[in-house]
Amino acid sequence: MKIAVTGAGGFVGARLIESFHLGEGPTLAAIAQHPSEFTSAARFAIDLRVADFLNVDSLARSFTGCSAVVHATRSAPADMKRATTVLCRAAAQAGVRRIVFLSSADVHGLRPPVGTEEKSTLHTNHSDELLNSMVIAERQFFTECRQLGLAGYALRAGFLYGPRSDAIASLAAALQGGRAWLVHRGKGICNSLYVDNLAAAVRVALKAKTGAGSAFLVTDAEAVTWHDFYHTAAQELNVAPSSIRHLDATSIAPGSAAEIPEATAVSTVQTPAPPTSPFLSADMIARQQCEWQLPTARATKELGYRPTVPVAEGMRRSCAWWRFAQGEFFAAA
Amino acid sequence: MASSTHHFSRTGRGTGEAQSAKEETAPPPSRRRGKAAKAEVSATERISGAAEIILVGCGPVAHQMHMPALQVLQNAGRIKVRAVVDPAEGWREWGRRNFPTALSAASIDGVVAPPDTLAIITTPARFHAAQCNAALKRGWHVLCNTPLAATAREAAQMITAAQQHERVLAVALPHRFFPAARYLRTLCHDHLLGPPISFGIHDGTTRAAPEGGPPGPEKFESPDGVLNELGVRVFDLLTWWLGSASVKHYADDAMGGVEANAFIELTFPENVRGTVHLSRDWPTTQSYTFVFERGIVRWDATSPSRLTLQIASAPSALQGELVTPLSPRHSSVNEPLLATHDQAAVAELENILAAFVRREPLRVPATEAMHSLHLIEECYARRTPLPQPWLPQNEAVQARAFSPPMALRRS
Repeated sequence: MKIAVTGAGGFVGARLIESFHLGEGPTLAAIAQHPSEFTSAARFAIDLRVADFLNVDSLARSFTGCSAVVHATRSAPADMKRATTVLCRAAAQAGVRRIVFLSSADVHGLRPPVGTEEKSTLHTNHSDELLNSMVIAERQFFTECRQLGLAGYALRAGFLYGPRSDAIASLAAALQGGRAWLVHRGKGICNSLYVDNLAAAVRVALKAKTGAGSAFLVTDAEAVTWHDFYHTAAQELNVAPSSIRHLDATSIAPGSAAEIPEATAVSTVQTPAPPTSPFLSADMIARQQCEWQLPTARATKELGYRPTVPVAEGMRRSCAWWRFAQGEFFAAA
Repeated sequence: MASSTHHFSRTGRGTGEAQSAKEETAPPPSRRRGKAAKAEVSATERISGAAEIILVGCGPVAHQMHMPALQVLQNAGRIKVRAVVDPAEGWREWGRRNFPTALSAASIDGVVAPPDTLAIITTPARFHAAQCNAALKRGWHVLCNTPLAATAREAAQMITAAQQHERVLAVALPHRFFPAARYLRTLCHDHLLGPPISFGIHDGTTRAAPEGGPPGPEKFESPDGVLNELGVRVFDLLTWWLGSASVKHYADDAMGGVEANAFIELTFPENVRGTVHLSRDWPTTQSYTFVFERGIVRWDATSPSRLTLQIASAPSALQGELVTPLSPRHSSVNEPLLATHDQAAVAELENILAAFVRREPLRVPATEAMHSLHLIEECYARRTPLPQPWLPQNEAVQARAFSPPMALRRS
């Protein structure tokens, strides 16, 4: 069985290809919109294919010989609905019967309400247009799958991290630069998802006999707070936890804060101010105020999802990559 | 190369840069033989005004590396892009957007152009030899992107062919025109901060899909590895600055394909040692740090002229842009400082045009490309798999199994 993986150049697509190729399969066709995106995939002797993701015929040609597609591409918000339509129609045209669509738990918002689960009603009133586009794309995915008779599985991934992720790069850089901030002492729920646990979810979705036409929330096994997430990273990077600074959430207007003035910050240490000004995005402020651990019961029951990498191990691997990316190879050697 | 210029500075025969500049030039083919020179002058006289250019390869490299300079020179009436050549129609048309009057062809065979046309070859390295030879047979001069060829052997054959056809063969190394690169060369050669001791280089950028460009061609050639993409430029600069190198250690992450990351440890004459970290999947600092006996210099390679300098035990380092010397009497060169990559590309192209139109010396002849090609081949010959401690154990085992010696992968 050959599987097509779109988005070969992205963090998730590249890791899925690496994990499948170095692991127990399946055989792959790596698909991207441009040859320049094959940097990671081209390290292997695998089938590399270029396609126009907004052109049914072009994308269908790239699916030739594949029995399933893992869609790990995220188009620009304006193109997302159309790209989803093209994906499904190209799959149907190429004779592909199953699509695993990598969605995001962000369709429930960056701060999902307590009680959120897969059946919770989605809306398109998010302040961030990207989230609205993701909701529309996921709806379009299921509509097209129904009309075309495709087995569609949407995986709503939690807060993704891992080697080569922006999440790790920005956190590591912030920790090492003395610019890491936690909201409300980091009590919020992270809903983390190590990329290899997502790969495990993709594997079971590719083989599942039930659950087609459904969305599945996917996170790590542990309910990790942002405090735990940051402190685990700090430990791996040999950064003093005391350098992590704290922000009083009560002073933040919802969805508004992007840059924190020094005056609103509460430092836990009496040290000189970091050399660069602190920064916490509105996106991260919202995430850190999440009070709900998203359930993975449906993925566990219907797909047989079993996250095998604990957060501590995921962070160890992620930080090992970060040190490598910073050129620490020679020091290690 | 470096040992001879060290000799010059020690014996007081030259003032470094000027002397070095003489050394790095090579007479154009037309200067080498009397009759041939006359024939070439006749051919040159046929060029009415603008020199004609054939752009072979219209992908992202051509757009980033050459098209801005070509547009500047075409707008100035110095050149005329006669044809754009690419087997992918979408990329060919993308090239024509910049040069609407240019003819469009899928291969060199579809282009008719007079001798003394300049072919600029920006295709993947494995096509360079065949395309270069096709151009030379038509009497065209050639500017070839780096690496000059897929192997040193092919490159040597191309150089011989250019000599036989008495055409200019140049290699695109605009970084040699950067003020910071020339400054570092002067420091290395003339020991203005004492002799060089060690260096550390991080050079990495991610490949980006070209903005405004068409989707990639469905039939495409696999990308080159990071050594051929970035390493060739780094190695060229290092051998230009420090002389011939030996590979002490080389590791990369190719696992049956081509490498995205590489770590290299090199040694140079006079016991200069250093490390190079290249990455195509994650952006690095792009910094070149040199330790000399009496100071440290760091070049931020994203800028052609930005340096940080720490002199001996001075209490602070100094950071800034290179500017015109305060006193011409104390400078060894008299040429404008180039502030951007595009300006360097224009200067490089002007030098090549001058080499075959006015028979001026070529500043970076193709023979200069041999140093980096030999070094790349030495790296691959000494290849070791790069440890990737973030992989699960079963994948790490498989990764090592997929990592045969490079010599096997290239065959």
